[in-house]
Amino acid sequence: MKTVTLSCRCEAEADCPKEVILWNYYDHEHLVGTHYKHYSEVRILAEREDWALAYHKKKMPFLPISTTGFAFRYIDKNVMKTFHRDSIGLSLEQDTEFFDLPNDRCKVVVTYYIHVYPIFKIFEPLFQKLFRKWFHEVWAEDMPMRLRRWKVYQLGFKDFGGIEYINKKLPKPEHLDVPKYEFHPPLVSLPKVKSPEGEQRILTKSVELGYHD
Amino acid sequence: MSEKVETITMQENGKDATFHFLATAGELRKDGQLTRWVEDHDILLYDYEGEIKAVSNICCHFGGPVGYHKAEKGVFTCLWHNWQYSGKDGSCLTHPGFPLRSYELKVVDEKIYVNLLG
Repeated sequence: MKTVTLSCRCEAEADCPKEVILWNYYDHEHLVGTHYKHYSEVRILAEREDWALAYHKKKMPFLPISTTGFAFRYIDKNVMKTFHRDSIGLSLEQDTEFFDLPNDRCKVVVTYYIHVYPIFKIFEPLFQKLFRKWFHEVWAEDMPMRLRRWKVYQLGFKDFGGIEYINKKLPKPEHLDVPKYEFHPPLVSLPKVKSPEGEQRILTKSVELGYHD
Repeated sequence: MSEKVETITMQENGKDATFHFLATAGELRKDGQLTRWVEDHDILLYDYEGEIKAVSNICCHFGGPVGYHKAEKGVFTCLWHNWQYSGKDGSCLTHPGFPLRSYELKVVDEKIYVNLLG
């Protein structure tokens, strides 16, 4: 049967290089950490340098139900394409484009697509309203993570190592020689997220004291 | 990146050591823990079974905030990827071998000071 495509375009700017945002988008394990209120389980089924297939269990946005689903994601230069398929039959495509801005800033443009029967075309305004809300809510949840990642990187943070002057109890160097932030997928992950049991969220509720950055 | 803060100098092992103001005891009592940036150190200050302790708030994994969630049963869970650390000594419970660096503290007149080099 013929289908039509509903779409919704959202964009936002960030005070960090686009590579930091790419890192955040490509980090599957943070779904059950940073987004613990929405995601309860994630598993990387397969992964290579420029693509990944992941399983997840999450609460549906704006609906009082949980669902399982798969997401295939690949990177082509400055575009990350994601295909979601949920157990309730919802198929969603997402194009995320990353643009450099001056002074280590960037712009991200996300376009959501959903393919539906023509009769559902009348719901496009509702679809756009819901997905704009979803985009801005997730953006707000991720943004402190990205800014903190950028901040500690500028202080010399190294993955699985930390910050040398802090760990070794040394005075902070007057000049830190920090190379340009680069993004090299896949991220170094721990074996559990690729095991049959996957990575489960630990906390279902929490007293959140915040970042205080 | 961070503002200059009040410091005091105290003798430690026969040498002068500088301690930076971190928080008041009253601020710590509110939730039993707090995090604060001091001179480009992100510090997690907390009460562990009646003893005031401080460790780095920067997760060894990807740099996440260890003290974002209130500790449960003396265990901190990093927000980003759920790495867990013991409040007893900052050791990593989920990934042994990646401990948080600890900080030496002094409490003077309800004010808590931290030695960034100790």
